[in-house]
Amino acid sequence: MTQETRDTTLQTLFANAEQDLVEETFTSQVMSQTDTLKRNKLIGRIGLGLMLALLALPLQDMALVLMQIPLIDLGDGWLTQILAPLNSVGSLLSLGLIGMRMVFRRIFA
Amino acid sequence: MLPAPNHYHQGPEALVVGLARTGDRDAFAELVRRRQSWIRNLMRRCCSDTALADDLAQQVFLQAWRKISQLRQPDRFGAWLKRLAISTWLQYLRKNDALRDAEEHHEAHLAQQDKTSMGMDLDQALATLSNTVRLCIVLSYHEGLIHAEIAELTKLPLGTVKSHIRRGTQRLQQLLSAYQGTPPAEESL
Repeated sequence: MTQETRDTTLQTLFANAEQDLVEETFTSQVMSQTDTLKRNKLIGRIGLGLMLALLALPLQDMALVLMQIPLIDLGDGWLTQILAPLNSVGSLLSLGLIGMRMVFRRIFA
Repeated sequence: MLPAPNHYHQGPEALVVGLARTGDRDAFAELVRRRQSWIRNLMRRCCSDTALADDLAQQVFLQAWRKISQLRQPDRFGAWLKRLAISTWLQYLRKNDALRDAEEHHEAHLAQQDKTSMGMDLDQALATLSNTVRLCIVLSYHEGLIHAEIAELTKLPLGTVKSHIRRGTQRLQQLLSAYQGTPPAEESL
């Protein structure tokens, strides 16, 4: 086991420099920012909901079209039936989006 | 039965954290009240600028409010908050030109009136260190973390942390040699 020694003078200086900071307006400022955050989040969700409601039908149509375009033509055999959920432009796009989300989370989380 | 909001200050922290996780604003405000001095002091040691330190401390608590539902162990709130504080500081460093900021902070902290002379001298000495060296020193001396913990928090290699602390300590010893033999504080946070 290694012993990590610290300079005692510096330790004392750090301890002495520590101030008991009175909160005054700090807490109320933080809480008012949490209110703003909550309001913005609500506005964002309502906006997203409205957008999805407006674009629901066109998006559904587009998804149906993309799901019907095969990536590779496998003919009419049983393989086509088995790979149907994956063998489409739509599934490629979905997998791409899931992959991007995973990369984004790994980098920025 | 849950405690009334005006009694939160008497409750154990884990309980208050548990209530804050459910979205209770009063409980979260109580956590901010309890921890604000510690986080603000930590940010002050990191950036040597009281106004910036308070802004960053507010960002830390906002992050905490956003993510508190993800906190699995309420009794680990302090360690979790410290991690958020360090990540907020590292993000700030990444977003800003470190050299320009160091210069601005140096000017800013000279004008601060609400610090003790010792605190000012310490912050002036810390401001002469590079950002990563300063962070390692602050985490070691202010937070009392061991080298391995600092390496884990800052994502720096252990050897780098050790050399940063060694060099930083030597530099501070030179700059603060006038304080040799300073008696310890009677009460610290």
